[in-house]
Amino acid sequence: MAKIVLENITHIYNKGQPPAVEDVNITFEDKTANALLGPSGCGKTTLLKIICGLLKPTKGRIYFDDKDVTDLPPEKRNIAIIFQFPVVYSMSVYDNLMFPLRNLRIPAEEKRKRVLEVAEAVGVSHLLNVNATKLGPADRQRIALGRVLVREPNAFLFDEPLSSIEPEKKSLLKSEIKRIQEKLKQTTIYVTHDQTEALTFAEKVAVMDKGRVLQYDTIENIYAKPKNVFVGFFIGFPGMNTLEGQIKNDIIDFMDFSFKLPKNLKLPKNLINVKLGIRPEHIEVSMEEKKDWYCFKVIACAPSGKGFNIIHLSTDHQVIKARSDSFVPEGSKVWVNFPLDYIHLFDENGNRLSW
Amino acid sequence: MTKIELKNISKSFFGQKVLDNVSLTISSGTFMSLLGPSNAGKTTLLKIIAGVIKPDSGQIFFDDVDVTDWPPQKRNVGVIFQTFALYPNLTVYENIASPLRMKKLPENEIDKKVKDQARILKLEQLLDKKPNELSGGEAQRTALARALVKEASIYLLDEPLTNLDYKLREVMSIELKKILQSKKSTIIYATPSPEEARLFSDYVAFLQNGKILHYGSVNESFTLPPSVEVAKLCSTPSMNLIEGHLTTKEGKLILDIADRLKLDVTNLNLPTDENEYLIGIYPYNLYLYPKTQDSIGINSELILQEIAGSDMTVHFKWNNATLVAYFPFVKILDKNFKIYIEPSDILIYSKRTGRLVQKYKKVV
Repeated sequence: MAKIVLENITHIYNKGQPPAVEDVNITFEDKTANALLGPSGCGKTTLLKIICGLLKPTKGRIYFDDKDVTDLPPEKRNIAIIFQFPVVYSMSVYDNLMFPLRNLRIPAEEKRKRVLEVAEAVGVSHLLNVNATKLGPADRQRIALGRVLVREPNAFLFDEPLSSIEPEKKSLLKSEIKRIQEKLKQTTIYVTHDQTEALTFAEKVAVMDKGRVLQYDTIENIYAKPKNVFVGFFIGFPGMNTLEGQIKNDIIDFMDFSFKLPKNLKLPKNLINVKLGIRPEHIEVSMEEKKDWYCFKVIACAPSGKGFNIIHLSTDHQVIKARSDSFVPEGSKVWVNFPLDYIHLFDENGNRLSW
Repeated sequence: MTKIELKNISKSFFGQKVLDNVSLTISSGTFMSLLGPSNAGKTTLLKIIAGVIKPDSGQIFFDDVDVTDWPPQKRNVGVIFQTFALYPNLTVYENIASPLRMKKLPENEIDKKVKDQARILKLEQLLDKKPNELSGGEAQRTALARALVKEASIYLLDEPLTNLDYKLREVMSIELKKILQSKKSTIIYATPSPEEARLFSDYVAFLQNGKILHYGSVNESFTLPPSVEVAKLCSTPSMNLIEGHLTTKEGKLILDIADRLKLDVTNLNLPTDENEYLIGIYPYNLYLYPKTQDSIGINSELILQEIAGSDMTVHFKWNNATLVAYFPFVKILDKNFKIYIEPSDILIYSKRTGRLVQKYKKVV
């Protein structure tokens, strides 16, 4: 069990190339469930390798609790990693789970007990005598998970553990991982490009892009208070809309319409160019004209396959997406409203403004 | 535009049957999805239509002409495969131009077509780049441009969005749809995703274990899936199917589901010789609040709540059944909570045949 601290971590694979990870500072508290979330190439796997010791960062230090482990090799860090493609050995499931314990100086009966407990926990008790290589990806992943559980490691790192699992077995394995994780209460870092996995497994999520951690926050805040435009877009389906406009006195001018700002706003002085963020699910849509609502043309009405439609709307200068329960014909007009409670404001660089 | 007709196509690899007597007529100009899980035989079927592999038996007709023995280049089919290979040493421009160079078109015509296609797919700024300098989405757009640049009367797309990040899929899907629609060609779009099939196409063929389960309009097929097998492919997560049996009570015919949920089906004309049924409910047709006065509440026990920012998928237990609900919002649920079913959303399937009997209608 350990708190994991990353201090000013930067990693450059090849001189002259942009860093794969840049200036990352995060503290993963002891016994918490965390996720690293970002698109492919964002640096999340590099960061994972640095934490487990497979890669030494170009700059920065790593601490487990208060101990500097930056120079420790992976085997001395006692961290468990569960990979995308589970590795099992060509031996029985029982022997697979026993493998990490073979050289430990503890009584045989104790080892056996631990293996059986873990087999139960990961749901392979009925498979103990089966050769592990004969099993499908979901069961192999269970065994891989079991093999690290018997070791009682300091922390668990999951690297996209579900992406190679048969689709029909995914949700069962998800609920099992979730259950094991809640029971163990260990420090966990779950690496994924999938927002659902991140928000399902973690209490706190670090959203990454281009080597940087853009926001490390609770799952509620990641959705409700994105620190920048990227996080706003990356979370949610469809992602947050952003409209570029200019502040003129008490309005934001969007060329085709303007948004009236509430009084007593504490916005930075001399602020002109801003981005307004609004999530598709928060936009109110009406087929009939409404006073003070904005008129948009329907470019497309696409079924989501989940009981609602996603409507693509535009004016001459702005394009947005909204959700709609009913079908709206292409080419027709709708009127939309952006409720004040759901408005996010960002500066021209896309960073959240408090107001 | 070309009408495609497949007659009794079968194909085996190493003794394993991949396509089993597939027959399908796709009218000219149809935008069709070929929907099926992995290993259903989708890629093999597309390759047979493209002429890259030959069927063991059966025939293919384009506009009533037997093309079964035609080589790929004679068929004029545009193909985009899931794992698209760009020429690594050629620029984006030259990659897009490559099919036109093969046709030995004059240089000025090639230049015009490449630039037009690049404009449509927003690749104008990238024309001088090499594939290793491109992001996943840019590489995918380049592959698309290369396939679309030669005018074909048939386009075959094999999961073109599957290998993209989900955010890129979100951005590209409607764009891709518009581009394909503007082609006015016959299009077959293979996908494992029912959501993509609904979004893209007008018609859908359900393929499983090498067999066509159903072919019909998207609207009808997804609203009233004709069989349990088809219904299971119609949404992610899959449709809930709960067992129920017929009983009579006070002269009324009751469909009794696990002794908890009783539906009056007296006026529904269910077949009198069958007692066992499956009731189907889409995950998105389950609610956390009563929607109408007919709503039926069931006591549920939470298994797993999957959160996706603005949505959630909830796995829960009701009696002995494990069910799934999808909600377009997020709310943290307690261990025990109530789920509401709208009777008018219920589909009734025969347990024996797996066929759709009918949609539940309220008794008046």
